[in-house]
Amino acid sequence: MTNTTATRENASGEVLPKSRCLHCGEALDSSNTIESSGKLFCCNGCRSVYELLGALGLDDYYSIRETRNILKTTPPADPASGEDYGYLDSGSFTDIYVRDEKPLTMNFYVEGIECAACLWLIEKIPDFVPEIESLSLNMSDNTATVNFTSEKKFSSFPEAIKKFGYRAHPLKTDEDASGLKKRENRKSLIRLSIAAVCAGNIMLLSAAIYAGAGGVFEEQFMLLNLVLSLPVITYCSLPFYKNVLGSIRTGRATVDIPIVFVIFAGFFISAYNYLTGSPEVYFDSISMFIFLLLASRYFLRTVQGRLSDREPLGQSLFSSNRILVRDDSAKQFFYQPVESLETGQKIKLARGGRFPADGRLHSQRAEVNLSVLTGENIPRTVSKGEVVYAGSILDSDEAVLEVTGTGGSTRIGKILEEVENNYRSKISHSTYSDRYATVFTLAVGVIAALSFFAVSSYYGASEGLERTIAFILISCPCAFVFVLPLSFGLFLKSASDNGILIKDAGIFDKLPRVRNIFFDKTGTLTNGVYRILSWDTDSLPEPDRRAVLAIERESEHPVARAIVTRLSGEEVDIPEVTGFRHLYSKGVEGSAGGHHYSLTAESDLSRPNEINEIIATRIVIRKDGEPVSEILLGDSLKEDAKFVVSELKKRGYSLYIISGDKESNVRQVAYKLEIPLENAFSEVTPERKSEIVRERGRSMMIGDGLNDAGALSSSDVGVAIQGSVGESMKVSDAYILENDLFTILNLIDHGAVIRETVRRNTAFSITYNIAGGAFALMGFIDPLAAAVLMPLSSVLLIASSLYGQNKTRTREGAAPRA
Amino acid sequence: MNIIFLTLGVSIAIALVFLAAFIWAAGKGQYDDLETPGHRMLLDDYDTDKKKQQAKEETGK
Amino acid sequence: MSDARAGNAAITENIYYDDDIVKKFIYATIFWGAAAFVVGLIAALELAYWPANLELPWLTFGRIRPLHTNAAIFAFGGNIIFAGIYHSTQRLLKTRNFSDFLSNFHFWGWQLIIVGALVTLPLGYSHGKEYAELEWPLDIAIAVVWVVFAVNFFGTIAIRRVRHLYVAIWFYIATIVTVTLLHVVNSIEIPVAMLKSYPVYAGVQDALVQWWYGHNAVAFFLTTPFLGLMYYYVPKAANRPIYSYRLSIVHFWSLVFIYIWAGPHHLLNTALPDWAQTLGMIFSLMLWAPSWGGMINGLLTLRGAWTKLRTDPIIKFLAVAITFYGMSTFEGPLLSIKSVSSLAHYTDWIIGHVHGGTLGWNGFLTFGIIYYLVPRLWNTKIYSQRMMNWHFWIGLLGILLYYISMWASGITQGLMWRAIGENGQLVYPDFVETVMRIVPLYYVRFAGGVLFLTGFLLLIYNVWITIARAPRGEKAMAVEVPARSSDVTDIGTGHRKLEALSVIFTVLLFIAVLAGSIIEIVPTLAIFKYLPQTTKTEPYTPLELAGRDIYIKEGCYVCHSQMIRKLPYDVLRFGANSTLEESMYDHPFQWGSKRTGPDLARVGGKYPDMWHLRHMIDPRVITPRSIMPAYPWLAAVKIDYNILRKKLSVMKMLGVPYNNEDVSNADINAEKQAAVIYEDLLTQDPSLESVKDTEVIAIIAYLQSLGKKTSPEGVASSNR
Repeated sequence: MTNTTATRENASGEVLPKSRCLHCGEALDSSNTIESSGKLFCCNGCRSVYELLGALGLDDYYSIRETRNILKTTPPADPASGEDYGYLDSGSFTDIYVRDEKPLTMNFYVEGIECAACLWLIEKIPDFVPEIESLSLNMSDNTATVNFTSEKKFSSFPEAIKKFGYRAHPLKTDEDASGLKKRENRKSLIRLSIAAVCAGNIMLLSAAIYAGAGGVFEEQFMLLNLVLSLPVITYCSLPFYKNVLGSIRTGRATVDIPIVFVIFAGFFISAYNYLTGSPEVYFDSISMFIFLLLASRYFLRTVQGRLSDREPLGQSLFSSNRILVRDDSAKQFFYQPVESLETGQKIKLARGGRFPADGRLHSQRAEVNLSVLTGENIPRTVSKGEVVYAGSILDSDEAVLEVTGTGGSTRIGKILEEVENNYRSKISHSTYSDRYATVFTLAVGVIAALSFFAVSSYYGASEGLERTIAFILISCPCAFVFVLPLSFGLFLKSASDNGILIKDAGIFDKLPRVRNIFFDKTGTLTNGVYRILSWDTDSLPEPDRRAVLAIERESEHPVARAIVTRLSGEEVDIPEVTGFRHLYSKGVEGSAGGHHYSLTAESDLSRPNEINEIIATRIVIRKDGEPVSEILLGDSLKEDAKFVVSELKKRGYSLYIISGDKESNVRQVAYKLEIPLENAFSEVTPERKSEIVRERGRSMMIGDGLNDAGALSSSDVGVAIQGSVGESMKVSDAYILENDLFTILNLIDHGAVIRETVRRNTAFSITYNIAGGAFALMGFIDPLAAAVLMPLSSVLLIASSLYGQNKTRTREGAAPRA
Repeated sequence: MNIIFLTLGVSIAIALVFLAAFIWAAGKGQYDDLETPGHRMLLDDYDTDKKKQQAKEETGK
Repeated sequence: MSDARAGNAAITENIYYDDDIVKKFIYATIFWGAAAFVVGLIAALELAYWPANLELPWLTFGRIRPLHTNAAIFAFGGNIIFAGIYHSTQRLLKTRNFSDFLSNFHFWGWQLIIVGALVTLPLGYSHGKEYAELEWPLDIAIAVVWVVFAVNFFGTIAIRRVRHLYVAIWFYIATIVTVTLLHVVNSIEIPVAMLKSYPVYAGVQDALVQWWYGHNAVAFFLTTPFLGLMYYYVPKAANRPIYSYRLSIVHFWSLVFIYIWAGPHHLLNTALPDWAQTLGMIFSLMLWAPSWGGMINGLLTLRGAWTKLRTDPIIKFLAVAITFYGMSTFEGPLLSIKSVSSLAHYTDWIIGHVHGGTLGWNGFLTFGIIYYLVPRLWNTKIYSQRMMNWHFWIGLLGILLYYISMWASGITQGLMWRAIGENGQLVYPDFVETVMRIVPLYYVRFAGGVLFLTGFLLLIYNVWITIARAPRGEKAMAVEVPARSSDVTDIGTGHRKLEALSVIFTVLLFIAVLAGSIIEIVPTLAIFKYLPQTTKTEPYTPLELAGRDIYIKEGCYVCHSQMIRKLPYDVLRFGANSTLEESMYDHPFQWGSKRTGPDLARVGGKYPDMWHLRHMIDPRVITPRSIMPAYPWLAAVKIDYNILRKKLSVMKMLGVPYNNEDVSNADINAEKQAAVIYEDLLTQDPSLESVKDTEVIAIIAYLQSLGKKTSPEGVASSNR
């Protein structure tokens, strides 16, 4: 409470919090405190947002937020950085994004929505951005629908909220699934409601009959039931019929086959019995069954839908959609949509830009980061005429490239295409319930046939038919087929509460069969940050430090930049540098302060080092040829990597590392994690990665980079971890929200528990069906009994699934996330 | 007997009508977003209350 | 910020909400609330100590009990509903009400109706149907005002600036539509005189219609609108979004769908066909789920604001209200289980149940809303927080006293009624014993009422001072809303289309509920077709009919049932169980819902006329410990013979088998029969000239006819 009151006063700027950043509420210490006009912030981003809100009179934002007890928010990306959206305004993009001319509408995915305060703030935007006419925010899928004025200044929205520290991604008209999903959703909702109303009334009337409404009432109520069940077995059941047709075409059995069979048999027999005035009438059971089925499937779909809405947009490869292209006639560069690139065109990129196409370098030299293919962040130096692959990042000042291949014809394009194919074939595998169905349908069919002859030979054909039908109806796995999606839905929920977003419930089916677990190295097992691990600067006299700084400032290489940042603060009377030279892929040299210095990478890494450090480079500084100091650069393992790996080993999985990185680094990791070296693959191409995974089989792949996408999609269970590129997330079955490996164990536990639950349910429903079926054949089951039995079994199954789900919760002791 | 025929027609009418209600709402997308309305209603007169506050402060007291 | 907006005039516009109408309804709520509570208190006192009626006809329990229920439900409840709806709807839809004229018409019209009720009910102008006692001119007035309200409300929806209809709005819609229907269907009646009419339904049909209405008056006047208010004011007061908006939508649809069916549970163990009873029971039980869904949703909204539960009285009121909603909606289905009902029906348990709902749920929610609204509307701070806290605790204590005493009383009496000794005889054959046992509890109940009223007086004072000290004469605040020109309210589709649809939807919903109701009622209209026509039922003689109307006028039905249930102890105590035929000519039915006094279905011929005469003039002459009020004026007021022709003709029109002579000679026949009774009395006591042609004669005739109208004999004689 005190805390919140403190922040309220902050909003009006009276009292200063000793401890918290005024904007994001981050706890402040000496290291991260920025002070401006007596107010404290954790970073410039926060400061500028705070001041902007104040200037616009929008600082109510803070008081609203405080009433929601939200004291911390993600600090904004520094407004200076982030992509500039100017390209949205150039006419050539409108057709990609604008979904509605009147009013002029564009949809955006907005990152960083926290609570009503964000809602309030963002929906205020039209008040002070004249180019925006109106906008409405949808917090369930974090999309903003924005109507622009006729000036068509589409950049105004993303620019505006960037100032507040949100990030907006324009949604292409084609890639925005939400519209389609909504229509889907509405349809099934309507189906559901029809089933509900009809089934409800049928239940009411049947209840009246069971309660003893006789004579005229009974007749008419029956007829009414017949009529009411018509829409249920027609319109509401369409999805089942569609599926069955589909499965017939593909020749793959689905659980909908018995369902449809039951629906038909149930309805027509009931109708027949009604007309012939015999009491076996199942309208109530049938319609109720269909309703429950629709309900449970709707539930599963909505859960999945909500999860995929929560799925953050990975920084997609081609997120920026415009590129500077040289118009040789005009002798200048101008913006053009990436889509319209052609081979032979010359394109220019600024530092940090991604190459949108394969091409030959036109500039003299460039530092290019190939992480997209290797997963490694150490750039390679490319010189004029060499080939650069699409997706790699320019790590030096601007460069010009001559396009040789675009879109699908780029190497990346080819990879992605293959990846997509793998994934599609993978998700269409038959699911557990389907396999269950196949067996089941056969069994019932056979038994029904036999028993028909058996019974009818004793009691005559009509009785035989009666009982056989009763048998089929009772032994229908009704409960099972609608409880299954239900329990899956519940598990998806609890999984997401544990920080795992699961795309396809089928994963629970495959998880338990996994034997081989493949790890990508960089960014998965390690933090993927290339930094100075150790450098004893004090041992280096000050003049030398300045000299080194001076020399390294000449270079673009990340090593150089790392060194420069480390030495920043020494920037007083920097000596003049003469004779600076790049020693390619080795280092740099030059003279400063009257001495000659060289900084070069040495091959020999044999040197004991910190437990988590993975040394990639060893730089030796020579002063006039004499080694004076050495710098170790590299990556480091994630804290929990060791624990998780050993835990997995205990559970008897065989573990692999597949990395695009140099052998030496991979070996270090394998050594430190005690993974047998023959299981550590280095310098693997993306294509090769998927091969390896496929060869081993029964596999789980864990990765983040685009170079893992192939492996992710060709493994049985692909798990993308936080910070993955969009392409990898798209093709993985699960996405982990935490930047840790521990959650992998969680995921596996979930797999185990749900399998258990499903097994239990299956066993139960089989026994139930057999018993019920037997009774039916002996002629003990009358409509009333059936009407009672069906819901009863359902309740039991639902209970059992809930029980299982609670178990996972207690196991992880996870509280749902707000 | 005619009463029964009435009830029969009527009960079908119920079914139809409750659907109409729901189909209208669902079809119109009233239920597409079941998050935001809960939050938005909290802000519906937020600005007014705020202005009242300010007005009071200005009038001193 | 305003300057920033200046450049952007097209986007937003400034409007003014109509808060005056809200203020008016708040005033009315408080005023009539006080009235309703006071009357209730008097009624409660009269049950404990009958002379509290000061022997004034218009103050007797039978006449003011209807006044209490009507005032509480329609005056107190009604006005807060309207206040809340007019306040929240404008804000949820970002528009001023459709028409100020209609708003004010609605306000003044409603208050006039209440005044009308205040006058007519104590004078005994009554339908004799619970919660629907008002006579036909007022019924029409209600219909008119309600329709005006509907037009105003849907007009507001039509001109709204927000596309989405917040769940509260849906609850309001359901209320408006359904109540219109309930009221109309239940009030179809044929006028006999300016303030007298007969409902078209008789016996079991009337019972079904009445209890379908009675139950849904609770469902759609005391539940759905208040749920709507809950879904608006609880999040507002707690300043946090509703726990699950999704759930609230489900809550609405399931509730609307099931509620309308639940009527018959008020007629369990009666002559109503068993399957209809079972049906009512099943659906009442099904109400458990949605009701609790709603309660949990409301409570969990306060989750995280629990600290406020200690600091903020408003939250206290709301939290307790929701809790009581949960209790009542748990108790209700419980009571509609046949076996439970057999114990609780006709006893004070029901009274306790009802007041748990009204005092706890409706009352406390209302108080919470008033305390929330008054400071905002008058743009000031509440005068005293401490007083609010006191109100809360005193009121809560009052409710608990009331609830618990009625529980005890109800169960005690229920058990005494059903107690049967080894000899197969009733342990307490003398009804008055069972009454004596619970009279002390009536005093406790009265105490509870006093506390509740005291708390309310604190509210009145607190609000009064708050308003008195509010800054004067400042003009209303402009609200900035999206301009209608801009399309934010309805991206994609055009407005007109949308509105057209929402109107259509309403019409359809109306038909739906109508349909739902008809299907429930209509079969029973034909019910006699399916009864064994072995028996023959005589219509009432003109004099008996006159007596019957006096019975209704004095509100005897609020304490005396005329329905012996199919339960052994009912049969042992009052005679063979009632059949549908016996009430087939009763316009309205008088089955009753409470047995403060014994059942009268078979009282006919049980006692001599003189017994009845004495008992009417002073019950204590016959039964020393009786708590029934004395009706001396019955022996003074003359019977109005002239109207009887009209009455019989109306009855004939409604299908009661009178022939033309019966109608044309109604007055003469009545006088003849009256003379016979009078002569007989006079021979026994010459001092009785004064009773000639007085109402007491008529009512004696009526009472003596009860249970005697259906032959073959044996039905009536069985209780000898």
